[in-house]
Amino acid sequence: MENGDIQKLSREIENLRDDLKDSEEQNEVLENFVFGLEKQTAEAREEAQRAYQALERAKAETDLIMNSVSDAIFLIDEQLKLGAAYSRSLETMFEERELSGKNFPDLLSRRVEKEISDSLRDFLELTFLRPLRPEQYTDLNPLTEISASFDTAGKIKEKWLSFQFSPLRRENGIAERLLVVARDLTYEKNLEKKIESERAESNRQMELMYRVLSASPTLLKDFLGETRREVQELEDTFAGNQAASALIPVLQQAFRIIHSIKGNATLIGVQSIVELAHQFEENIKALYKRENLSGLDILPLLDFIFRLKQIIAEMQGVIDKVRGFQASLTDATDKGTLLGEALREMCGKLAASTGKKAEIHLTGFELLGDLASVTGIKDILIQLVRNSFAHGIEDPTERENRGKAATGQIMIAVETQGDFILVRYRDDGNGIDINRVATKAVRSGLIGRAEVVHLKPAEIAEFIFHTNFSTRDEADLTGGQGVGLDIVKKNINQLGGWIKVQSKRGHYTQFIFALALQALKSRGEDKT
Amino acid sequence: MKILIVDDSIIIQKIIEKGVVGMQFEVVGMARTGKDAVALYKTHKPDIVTMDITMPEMDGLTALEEIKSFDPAAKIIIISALSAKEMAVKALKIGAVEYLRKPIDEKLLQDTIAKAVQP
Repeated sequence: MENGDIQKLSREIENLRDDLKDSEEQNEVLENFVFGLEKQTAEAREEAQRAYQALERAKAETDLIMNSVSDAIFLIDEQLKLGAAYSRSLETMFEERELSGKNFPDLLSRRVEKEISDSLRDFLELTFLRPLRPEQYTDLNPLTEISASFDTAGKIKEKWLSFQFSPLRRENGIAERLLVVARDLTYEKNLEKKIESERAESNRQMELMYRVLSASPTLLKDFLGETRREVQELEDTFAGNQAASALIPVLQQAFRIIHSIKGNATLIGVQSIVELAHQFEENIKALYKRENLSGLDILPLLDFIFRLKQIIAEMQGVIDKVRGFQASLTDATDKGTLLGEALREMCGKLAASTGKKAEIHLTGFELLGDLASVTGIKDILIQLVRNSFAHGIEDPTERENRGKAATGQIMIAVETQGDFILVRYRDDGNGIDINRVATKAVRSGLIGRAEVVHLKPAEIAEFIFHTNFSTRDEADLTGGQGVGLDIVKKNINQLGGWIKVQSKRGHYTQFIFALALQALKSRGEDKT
Repeated sequence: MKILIVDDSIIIQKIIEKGVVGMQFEVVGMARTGKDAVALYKTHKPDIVTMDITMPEMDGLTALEEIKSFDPAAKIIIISALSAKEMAVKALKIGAVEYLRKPIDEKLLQDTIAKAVQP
């Protein structure tokens, strides 16, 4: 081998060695690359794992929310169909399962009035047609508060529901879907109703409490005693003969009793009893007109008696509670003055309710002493005051036109004469319209047309004491019930007395009545 | 630009008229019934109409339909109380440009009109 060849060879060997070295280096780079790749893959896998877990958690949370939120949440699409995911309470609310894909207005239409589901369809279609201003989703929403009925296993359930709609918009501002949040307001609604009725009840209790505290204790005690006695009498009346032929007299008797209760309640100012008694009277009057009256027709009246007894029991309850407080007031004033005060108070109330004006002047009431609490006197005076407001005292303007003071004057003077108490009652009102009394007496069949012309005015005036006589056509709380002065006369007769009426048309009406002291005293003793 | 004001209440008409003062509108007519509104629209071809819903003789919804069939490009703003909201929804569906509720918010009225008459 030549020298040159050896050199060439060794150079080639050198090159080969270099190549080998290069390839080893490349190998290393490759290995490093593969290693890096594996590492990245592992990291990516881990990351994917983490992301998946996060997704799982998010889904679990969404499910948790959708399964436990009390609001019904769902989406509806352009076809007005419910989306696949909705909160579980929607099924409870609609009493129906598998709701996804169902048409929302259709779903509601079976449960609400047709106008509502029609309006809903219009509204939803509009929301997918064009963008609305945010407040218009509330303003135009036909389901802000609706009542819907659901058939659950044959039982109809009424629900109050409220729906809110918000758009999930596309880029052009038009809704892609609507997010709906619905709430069941039934519980709140019922609660509201309950609170309202409790408030009314507590107002009534307050009224009773106020009356009990503001009325004089003696009068109140008398009122309750008397009303209890009258309620008993009422029950006895209804318990008696209920043959069809006996019903009208039974009703008349009941009417008289309830009218007296009303008078007493007006005096004390127990509005709930006044109103109840008034309804009672109206019911009886309706029965008068009914043909073929039967015993069954009077059953509803028994409910009135029940309610009356309830109010009386409540009043007694209030009284018992404040008895200690009241005891200190009882002896403060004598009974005659208390009766006077009660009459003044009643006069004020009647003035307020009729728009008429009147003041009461009392003299000699102290002479009555304990007798003032005897029911007779009180009843008579109440009736006469009511009568003055109903028939005597004119409206203020009418009085002024006649040259009278706008405020009417009622004078009640008490004096004793031997064995009698004499009471003069006078109002400066319109006097008695003798012609009207005569006409009414004829119409009521109390006297014939031919006879009435022979009577003197004073004799005609006496008809006002006749049972079922009234010159007022409309019944209201102050008079015109066709019972009143007849009761007055009956009361007076029972107390061994008499009553006379004098009147000057346009000027005054005066009643003078006497009551036997002995009769008053013995009734007072009966009671206590 | 021309505006036609339709409302059966003269007071509301005045309020709307006052609202557009300063917007360089010529009030070409005031109508108290849907029937008059349609007639006035055909005569004047206003650029914008404010339309009440509850009116005698012809309600605003019917008037809107008639005006739209005469001139599909008519721009009509419904102004009515919320008690007529079902009708308002129908009006918007058949092409009213906007719905404003009573009582009228003057600023909103101006903005709505300005936006509606933009070419």
